[in-house]
Amino acid sequence: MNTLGQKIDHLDREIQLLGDILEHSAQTLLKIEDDDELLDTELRYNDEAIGITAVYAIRGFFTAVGRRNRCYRTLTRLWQLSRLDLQTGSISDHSDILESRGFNNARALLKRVHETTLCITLFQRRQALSEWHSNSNEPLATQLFDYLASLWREFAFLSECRSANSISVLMEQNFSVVREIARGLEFNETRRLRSAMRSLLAREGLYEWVDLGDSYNLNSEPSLRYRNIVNSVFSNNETGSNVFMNRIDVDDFFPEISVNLDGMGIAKALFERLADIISGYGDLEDVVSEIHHSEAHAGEPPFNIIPSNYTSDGECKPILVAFATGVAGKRGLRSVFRQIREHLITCGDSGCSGSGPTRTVILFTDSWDPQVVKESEADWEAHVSHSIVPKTFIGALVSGSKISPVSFP
Amino acid sequence: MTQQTSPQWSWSNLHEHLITRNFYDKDCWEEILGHAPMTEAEYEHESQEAYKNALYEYEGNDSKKEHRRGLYRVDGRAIKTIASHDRRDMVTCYHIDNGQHEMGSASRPSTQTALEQMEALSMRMENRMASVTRFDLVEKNISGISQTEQTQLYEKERNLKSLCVTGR
Repeated sequence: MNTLGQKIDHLDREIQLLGDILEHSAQTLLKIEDDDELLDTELRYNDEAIGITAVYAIRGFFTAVGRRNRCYRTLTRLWQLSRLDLQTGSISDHSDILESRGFNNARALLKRVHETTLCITLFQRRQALSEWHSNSNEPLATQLFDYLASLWREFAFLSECRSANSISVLMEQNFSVVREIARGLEFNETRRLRSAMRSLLAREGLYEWVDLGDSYNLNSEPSLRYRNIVNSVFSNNETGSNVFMNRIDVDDFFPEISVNLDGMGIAKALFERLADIISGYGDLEDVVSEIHHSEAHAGEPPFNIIPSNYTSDGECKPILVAFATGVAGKRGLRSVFRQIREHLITCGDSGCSGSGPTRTVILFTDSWDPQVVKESEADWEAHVSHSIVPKTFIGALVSGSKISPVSFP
Repeated sequence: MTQQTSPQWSWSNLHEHLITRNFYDKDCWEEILGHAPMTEAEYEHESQEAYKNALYEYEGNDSKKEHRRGLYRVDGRAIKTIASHDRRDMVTCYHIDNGQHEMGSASRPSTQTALEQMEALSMRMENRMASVTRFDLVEKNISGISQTEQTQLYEKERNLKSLCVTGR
């Protein structure tokens, strides 16, 4: 699987590659005046064909830029819990990028590619979709996923052209056609498509709670929420979007008495975000991998994590988040319990080396073994009863996209 | 190591799939062949050509249930062949058109077509719509293209390889 960090690396390479191609092809490209030619002309470099058309290179470049920025922004906000400026700087006018690559009239060229893309993607393809035949080569869910994923890629391109809002009507028309087709899916196929779409949004860094950025509020038009890609398809379905979104009721996990405790609001918000991510990924092990790679890109988060690249020499923080996958092994429940106990010995009452003693322990685990829990019972009780700083333990058992409370300790 | 011989159709399977393709994929094949409907010999020939000239191949499950765990090969025209794992039997052959043929798509550069299809496959793999255990470019079929084209294909291949299911 690709984590957000790995995806950023991949997109960076794609941006570099397509950027170089565009730069080398600038003179050829600028001579093309006809829209059809722009679509079909294969670019050449030093009289050598390079296998892609001008419109593919431009769209591919900006799509990669859009996806890369989205992933980076999400990654940063995931771990910093507060809005930070992109380290790369925001791209306010994308024609500048082309101009820096040798395009004299980049704005006009981009506008033409944009319009051509709109025409092809949102109008012609909707018509084609209307005539969709069910007895096709691929399973219907696969075709719908391909279509929705390609819409998302186009959307990533169009959003970089600052046109996201102007295409909302066209997008909705496409969604309504997809919605009609999706109604014909068998139960298992519906479930498969939903799961894939949830995963797509998570892996592209499109969490509901992540701000979409100022560029989406141009001209005071309402923002397009990416979640709508999914909701638009399933909102009128029998099972409803709420089931699909599998919203977590955070209050089920937090004891009423502790909600008003110091810092509990932050813990609750953090839990909600993590639950949303895990639910989106549908696989706890993937999320744990994501965290490891994310730390490398976004730096140390404002809470302690087990397992973590920073745990051994990190500072004490008021919130500890632990992830256990399986029972045995390095990341298993037994090992994670041991690490939590060790952490609480160091940071339970003394927070001298950091921003305060640990007050809340949040555990996400995909396995639950009463025997392992029993082994740590005495330690948990000691921490709850004798610790100077009161502790709250929040346990969440993960099964695919479902998350339910477990008594911990 | 790719065998030199292509998978073979059984007569009944070829006949059955020809009828389907001529009915549902008429526009695709008409643009590729220049006429419609195609004959049995043409369908067999085109499927063998698509298999032989494929730019990439992968193993796993990326289609209907009955094609599970097959060997998939896709050429620069976006014609996909599905064969048995041992490369003996041709299971089916069709044009990837996402439900409806887009006129003019057959005239696009083959590298671009392959890159687009590989990107779509990576999305399916990443989000568990397809389960692929191995992905490889067909070296002998890309050795003749330009360095820039190869660079782009290898970059996509690198990403697809990282998404292959490892069997955990």
